[in-house]
Amino acid sequence: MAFLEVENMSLEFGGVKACQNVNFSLEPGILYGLIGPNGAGKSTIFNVLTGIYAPTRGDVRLGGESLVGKKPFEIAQKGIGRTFQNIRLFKELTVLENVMTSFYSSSHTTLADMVFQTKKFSSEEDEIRVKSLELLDVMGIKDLSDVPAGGLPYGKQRKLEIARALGLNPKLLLLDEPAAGLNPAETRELTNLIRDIQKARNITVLLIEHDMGLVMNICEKIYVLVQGQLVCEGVADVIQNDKRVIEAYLGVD
Amino acid sequence: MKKINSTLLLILMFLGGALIINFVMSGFSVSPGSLLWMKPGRFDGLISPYYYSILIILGINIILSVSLALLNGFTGLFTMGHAGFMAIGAYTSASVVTFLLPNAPFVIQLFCGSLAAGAFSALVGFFIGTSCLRLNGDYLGMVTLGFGEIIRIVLLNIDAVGGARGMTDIPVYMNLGSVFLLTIITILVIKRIRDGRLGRAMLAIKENEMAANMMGINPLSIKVRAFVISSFIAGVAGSFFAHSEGYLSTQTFTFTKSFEVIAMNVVGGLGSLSGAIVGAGILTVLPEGLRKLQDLTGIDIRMIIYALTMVLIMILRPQGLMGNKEWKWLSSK
Repeated sequence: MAFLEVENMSLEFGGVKACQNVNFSLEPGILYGLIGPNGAGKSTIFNVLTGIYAPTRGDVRLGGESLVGKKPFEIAQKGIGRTFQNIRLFKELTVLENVMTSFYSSSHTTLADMVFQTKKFSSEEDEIRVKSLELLDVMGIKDLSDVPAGGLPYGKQRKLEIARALGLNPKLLLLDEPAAGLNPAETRELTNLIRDIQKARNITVLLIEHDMGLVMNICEKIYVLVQGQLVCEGVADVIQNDKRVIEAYLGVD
Repeated sequence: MKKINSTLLLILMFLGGALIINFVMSGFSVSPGSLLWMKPGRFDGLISPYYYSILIILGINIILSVSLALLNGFTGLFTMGHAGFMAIGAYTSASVVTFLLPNAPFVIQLFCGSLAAGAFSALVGFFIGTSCLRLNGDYLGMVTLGFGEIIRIVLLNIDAVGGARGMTDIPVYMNLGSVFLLTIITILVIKRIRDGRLGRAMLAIKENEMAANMMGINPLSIKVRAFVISSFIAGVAGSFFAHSEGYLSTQTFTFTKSFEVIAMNVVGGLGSLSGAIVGAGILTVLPEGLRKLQDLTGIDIRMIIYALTMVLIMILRPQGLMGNKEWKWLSSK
């Protein structure tokens, strides 16, 4: 039973065909990889899934419901969390506040609750704070919770972005190059972390990554995108031996 | 229950403070008039009428400044029409009190007047907010500047509120105690909004709108709410202004007033509530304080020093005097 289906999705900017007839579906609880050369349209697919771009043709469905025409924040509320290739944290806010922000749509305090600081307000705030700290603990940055997010080292910023996306309690987590800019040790640590989180929360993860070691290591199924078209899908072994994939990455004689 | 009680306790405490201020200022008079709404007739209390009126203006400026901080500093919406909202509030309240409720007791007059001022100003804020929210940065500033001037010109051409002659004979109700009380309440309200989920959403939108979207935050709705809350408070500040001066002229609400409020925010530090208060304090007290210097030297150097101070602050502390810092009682922790 696929819970996210992308059907004949095409996206064109004028004459530029960013995605052409992309078809794939994601099953719950599986870790997927999306790879492809630079400019293949991987991040574009993320942007379509999260509603930043509306597809020119085709459909995207989450649990049978079409996401086309939905606003980005509505899609986020439906349970798709994401991180960005170029980190987009709330830099002036503290690490803890960054994560607390993601509980916005699941909390219910009204303006009056805030102004009079009612019991509902304080219990909800406490709850959000505890949950956020738990997420930071999972990502191993709990001790930095009072530091402004912009002051974190790069690797920790990546972790914070994942923690923030998890605050939405997503069914589907999209990670856009989570290991970009990390050293091998950090990458290994993050790889294990992503796998642990995915198993522990039983969520679906779709990750874009150029670090093939990471992808081949943890992804249960991999999609390969070349020039806006899906050319191959399957487990790591299949991908590594596929002619079209090798052609796209290494060229042909 | 405990929390509600502590809020009540806080308000009672400030009310007590306000009464004490009025008691002292009125030269230790105990008549209800001098304690609650009348400006002291004889200033054998502590200070002269001149300083007394500066303190009242200071309070009103702080209210304006923190209400703009909510829009400008927290949500990152650069608006230049704050004087317009203040004007709407001032004229609405003055009209309600003089035309609709001329014989009501002062509490009802002031309450209804301020509420109508805030509500009408918020309504206009809602329309301006919804119609300009696709604009960002300087463009939003330009449009709100235009709206502010439109509001002023419209008021200038309504004969019922005095037109170019200005509106006179507005009952004077605000004294130092009540302005103090209302200023503190406004600061606390804004602080509490900032510390709740709404404030976090505002800050998130300022920092990165795209990422805020991905957190399930609807930026348009948050921005409209910021506009409505901010214009409500600016309207109420206008109402207090009307009832402390007793006279209104549209000349007070030109775009220079809007810029003055922006300058308060910038000098104190954009994004800091304490900064908005410090900025309001400096920009209110400095021009008045320099009058003494002018009297002493006999040269009109007041505005030169005032301008130089602002330039120096911008060069030496471009992030504002407070930067991003907050005083302890206003910090979110």
